[in-house]
Amino acid sequence: MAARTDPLSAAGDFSALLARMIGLIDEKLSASQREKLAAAMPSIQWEFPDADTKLCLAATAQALRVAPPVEQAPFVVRMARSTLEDAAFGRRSLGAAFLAGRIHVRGMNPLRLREFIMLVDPLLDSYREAHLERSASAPVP
Amino acid sequence: MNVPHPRLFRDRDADPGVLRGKTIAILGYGLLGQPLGLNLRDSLGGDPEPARVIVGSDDAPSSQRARADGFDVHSLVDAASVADIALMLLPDEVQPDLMPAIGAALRPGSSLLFASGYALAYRLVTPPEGVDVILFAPRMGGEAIRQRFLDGRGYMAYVGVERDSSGEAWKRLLGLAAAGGSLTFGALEMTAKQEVVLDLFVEQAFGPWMGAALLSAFHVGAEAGLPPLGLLMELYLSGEMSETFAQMARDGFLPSTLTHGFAASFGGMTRALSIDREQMAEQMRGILSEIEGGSFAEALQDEYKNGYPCRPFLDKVVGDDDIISRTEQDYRRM
Repeated sequence: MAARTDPLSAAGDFSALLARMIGLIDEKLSASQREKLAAAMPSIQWEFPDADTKLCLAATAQALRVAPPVEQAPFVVRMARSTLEDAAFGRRSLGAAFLAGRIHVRGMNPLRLREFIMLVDPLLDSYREAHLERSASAPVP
Repeated sequence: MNVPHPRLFRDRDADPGVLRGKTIAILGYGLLGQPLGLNLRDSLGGDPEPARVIVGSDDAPSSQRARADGFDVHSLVDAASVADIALMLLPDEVQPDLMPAIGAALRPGSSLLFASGYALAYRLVTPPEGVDVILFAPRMGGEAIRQRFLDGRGYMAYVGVERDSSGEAWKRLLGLAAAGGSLTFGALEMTAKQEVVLDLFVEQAFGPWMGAALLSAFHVGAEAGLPPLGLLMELYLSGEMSETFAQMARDGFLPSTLTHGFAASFGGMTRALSIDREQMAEQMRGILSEIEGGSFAEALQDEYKNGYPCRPFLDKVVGDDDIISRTEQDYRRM
């Protein structure tokens, strides 16, 4: 029997998935949450070295949108794609991944922690939803 | 780098009679309030004209604990109003809200002691005019404060006078430091700002590197197939590491590195050379700047005013079902 390949394994697909995730996060955050996020972290760069993927979440008081990655981003979250997926699907919490050194957050300080925490649950929910949407629409090989 | 050493005070520098007949109010009966209250009462109770140690607390569980320990318990304001010396032992971040009422209750000529320089250094409180403002900041956790007092060993503290209204602020402070059990070991003179910056800097600049090094060593070793329990033993569970720290304090940091055998110093020193210390130092400078400039205090006050919104997340990370906690539990069941 031929091995079934993951329909979302390519970097391009993963970027699209993350872009959809950001769109879904935008729908989940209230106006005041968006405003707080934009004030504390107007730009969050997400880096997934194993998937060769980087993208930027740009936050304004009006909306969250995808922006191109930059060289010296002030706030960077770096992890493996599998770390994000394990957390989104409840296989391993982000806390456990953090303790194991699988998540690196550059630029974090106590002034920003609250806004970052505010983003965690919507992010995991949105990634899971985006993944399920894409899996449902992907053709079975 | 040419900063002079601060003054070091010992029992011989304190006048034990200075607290005779005074009323000492312990404001807050928590991590520090309980051991300091008990130490002061034990030290001063035998005097022919003993000082009276009372507790001020508006928190029901703390009040109950203080009563169980045999103290007269009053509200914070009532205790402050009868105090010759009031010890402000409430959490740093709540002091600004409570200070106006407590300050208004204090009598001119009394002394207000802070166990941390935080609220003073960041100007979050304004103690009333006519009151001494003194600092006695133990460098030891509550349990150890009590145990080391009972053992007669004492413990390090930082002491300082921020304002001397009574003319005897230093005498009162050193009397309290001695009766509280610190001066058997010794107390260093510090300003409130120096105390809080030292405390927060080591917590935030050194602590996370030490924690991260420990976690990384554990996970790298465990992923490579080393026994998790053996890793924890090497790192802290056997007590060897805490003995090493005790040895550093006793024999000196560098001399202690030579007492673990040549293999340990040969391997450790050569590996330490390859660590990017400049990167580490740069991060530490940034942290120090945020602490000195007050932005950390601003974040902590904001967290308090908003009902500690970050606490559930931090508690969840610490309380998560991780391999280290499971390994510790397995060991304790053995």
